[in-house]
Amino acid sequence: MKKGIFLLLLSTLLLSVVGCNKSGGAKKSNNTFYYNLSGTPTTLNPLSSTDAYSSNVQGYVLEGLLNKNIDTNEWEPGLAESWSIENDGYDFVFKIREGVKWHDGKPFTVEDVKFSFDAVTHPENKYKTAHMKSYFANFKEAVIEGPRTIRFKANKKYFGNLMSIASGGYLAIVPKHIYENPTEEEEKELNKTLIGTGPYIFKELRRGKGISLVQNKDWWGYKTDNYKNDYSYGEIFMRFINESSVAIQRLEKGDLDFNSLSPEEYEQKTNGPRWGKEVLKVKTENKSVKGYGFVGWNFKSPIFKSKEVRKAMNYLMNREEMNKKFRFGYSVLATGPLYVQSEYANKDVKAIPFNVEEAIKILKNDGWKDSDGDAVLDKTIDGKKTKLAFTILNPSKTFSKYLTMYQQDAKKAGVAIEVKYIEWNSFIKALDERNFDAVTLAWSGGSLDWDPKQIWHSDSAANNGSNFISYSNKEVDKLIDQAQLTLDKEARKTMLKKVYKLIAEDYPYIFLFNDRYTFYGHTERMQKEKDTYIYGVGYGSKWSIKPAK
Amino acid sequence: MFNYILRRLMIMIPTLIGVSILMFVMVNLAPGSPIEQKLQQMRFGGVGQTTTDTSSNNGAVSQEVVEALKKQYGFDKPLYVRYGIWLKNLATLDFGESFTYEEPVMDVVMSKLPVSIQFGLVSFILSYLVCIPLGVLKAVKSGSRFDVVSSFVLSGLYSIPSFMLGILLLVYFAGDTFVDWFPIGDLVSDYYDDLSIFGQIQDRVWHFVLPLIAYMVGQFTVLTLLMRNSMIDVISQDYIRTARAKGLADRKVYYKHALRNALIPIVTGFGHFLSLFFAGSLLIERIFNLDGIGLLGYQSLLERDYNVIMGLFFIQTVLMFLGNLISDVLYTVVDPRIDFS
Repeated sequence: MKKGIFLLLLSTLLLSVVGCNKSGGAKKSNNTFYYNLSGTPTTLNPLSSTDAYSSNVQGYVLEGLLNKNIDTNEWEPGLAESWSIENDGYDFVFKIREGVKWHDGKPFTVEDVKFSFDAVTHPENKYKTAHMKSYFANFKEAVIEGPRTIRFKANKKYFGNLMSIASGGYLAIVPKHIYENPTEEEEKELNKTLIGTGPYIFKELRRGKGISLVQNKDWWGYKTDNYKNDYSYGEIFMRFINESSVAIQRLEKGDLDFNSLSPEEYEQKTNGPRWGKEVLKVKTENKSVKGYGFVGWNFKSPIFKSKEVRKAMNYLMNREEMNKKFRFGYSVLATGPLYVQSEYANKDVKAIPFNVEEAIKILKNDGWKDSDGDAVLDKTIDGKKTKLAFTILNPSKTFSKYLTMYQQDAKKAGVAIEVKYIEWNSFIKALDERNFDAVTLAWSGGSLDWDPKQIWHSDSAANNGSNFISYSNKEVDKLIDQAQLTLDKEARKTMLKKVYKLIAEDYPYIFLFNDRYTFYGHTERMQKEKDTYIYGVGYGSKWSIKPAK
Repeated sequence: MFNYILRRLMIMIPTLIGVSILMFVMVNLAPGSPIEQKLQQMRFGGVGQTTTDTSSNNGAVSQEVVEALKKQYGFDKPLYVRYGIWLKNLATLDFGESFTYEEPVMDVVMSKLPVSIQFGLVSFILSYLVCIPLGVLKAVKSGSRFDVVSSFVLSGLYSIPSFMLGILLLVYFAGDTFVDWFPIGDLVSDYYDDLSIFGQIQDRVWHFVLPLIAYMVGQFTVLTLLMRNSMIDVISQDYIRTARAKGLADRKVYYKHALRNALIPIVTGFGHFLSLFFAGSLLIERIFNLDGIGLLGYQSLLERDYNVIMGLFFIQTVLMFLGNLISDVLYTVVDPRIDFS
């Protein structure tokens, strides 16, 4: 009997091996764009979801009042066909498009816009939108002024106000008739489905596999000059592949049509026989936002109160070498609190070179010497002998190799650095409690229009703000506050360039690297107008599938 | 026997409550809570991601938002009250709602269960079907070339970490490097729904082979060697030697008299088949892109999804207790010398 079962199992396995050769790769739909989402969205409900995976899906299905042009970064009509800013920048008036339908066939109305705004700003948090509230803190209310007109009233002037209400990334417009008063059962369902007005209709979520969306042939955009050639594929299948090397292998096999690559992957994992034929890799430059990594000093630590010490620490970081060794020379050295390619970055600020002698000189002038011969510098601060020894908390294992190099170089100047790898939640706790000497972390780019308040303003040092190093500079504060109220972009640029320089000169961080290139791979069957657009690769809309031969 | 089982079941209840209090406190005392997770997402964009959106127009998260979040997730109540609520809900098998998925924990767990049951069950059956005969054969032929070579192979396999084996299998059997026989990741093809029943079975098996191998290899070695050594122990006992000296055929001696006794240590594992429904391997699931319990547990820990952690923990503990009980009962079945009453 046992033998029988065993043979049966074995034969099934063998059969499948033989069988699979015949069936080859996956039978693919020719009109589907296969895409990697990296992970499963936790919930699709646009009001309560907080993860990047869901917002990626929502980006195809839901829309905002306006869109940003991927080449000019200018606002363009979206669900609103026109808009105006009135009352000295306090009021925002939108006229919504006529004839737009929700994916369930019901007409889209100005009521839906008002509901979407009221839902995210609901005072009792009925729709679980606490995470969105800070984006709308400057707004008082939304008032319907006509069958197609809605006015948003702000109570505080801020250059980013338009962004908050116009962009679908902040205020996604959702159907009132579905989200307003769902029953408990319906609410559960809302986590697994999506109804919008966008170019793609949510079709199905297959757990552990992917999400499929189908083209909305009635999308208003196809009737406009701006978007008539966009989103031309009939279906999108978003896979949930978390492991990046597996994603690359699936790209090679054609299971994915597009996958972004890291510099290492671009250099080392894209050299198989199919590359250059069935799969193509692209290295391209554009003006999209770029982030940077940094080592930040705690301004409350007696050692790092000294600007000279912070400056010397900068000279001890051999970024040039790290870029060559670990980043294939593909990065540029960061010079200040914003990526150097940004129009708000101050080009007069130069990258700090690696120079151990200079560091030693600075520390000597600051009164540091090795008084007890233990090869670590010391100094009497507030009557206490303090050693130039500290710990860098590091939440990322991959970054450890950089820090090891830094540690070795610092040793040459008499600085003892201990690097401690620490789990993310504990790391955040240390940040919140301001309980660290130094930390390493990275900021992503954020918005193209820079607002340094969250990270660099003294106010953000309290209340779980992102200024966890407690950086404070009165002049910087003043300029940031002023810039927030300045709607004229050129004037704001001048102020923020000053902010950039002032911050860089205070050496609050070691600013590490800004990416220079975007890397990605795609299958040969995908077509594109160009490698990149000025403000992004544009995989969301601007690709098309080559017609079958 | 009945009394024994009843007694064991009764003892289980206070033990479970004790363990759950311990777990509840431990989970709640770890740095980071679901509230902080949400705050982090607002500030940094999610777990383990070091990113932020600097376009937020607020310098900091206001206390108001923090309070709203606390209320949203019930964290405005003290720890013991929350435990009380948890325990009360448990009576109706309600583990609360997952903070991450915003649906009942039971639904989340059930949605991941199919993957785990498939792997648990198939690997359980396969490993016993292969390991017992193989172990017996190795014991009977102890010291022969077959025994040495197979031990060598098994130890070799055992020493490869399963995730590494998984990656090697993918590279060599599902890509350009060697042969491209198997698909990468997922449990079924995209076009699974369009296949005939036979096609669906074949498709499933086809996707199943590589992860299953990676998943099973470790268990294989342990179980085979356990069976072999247990068998050798028994064979060297006096009564077996006596039986052989009396002229009984080897076959009869080994398979009728020795095997039954040699199975006793193996039976210990049998009780754990319950836990196998819940089996999960984080690394395998990650590499092969399977949405199972292993990954769920790991993600929940990272995201401090307390209710899911507690739910998984509780179910697993109950299964383990029951498994042990079943093992004990099975002992009495295979070995009449053991008597719990």
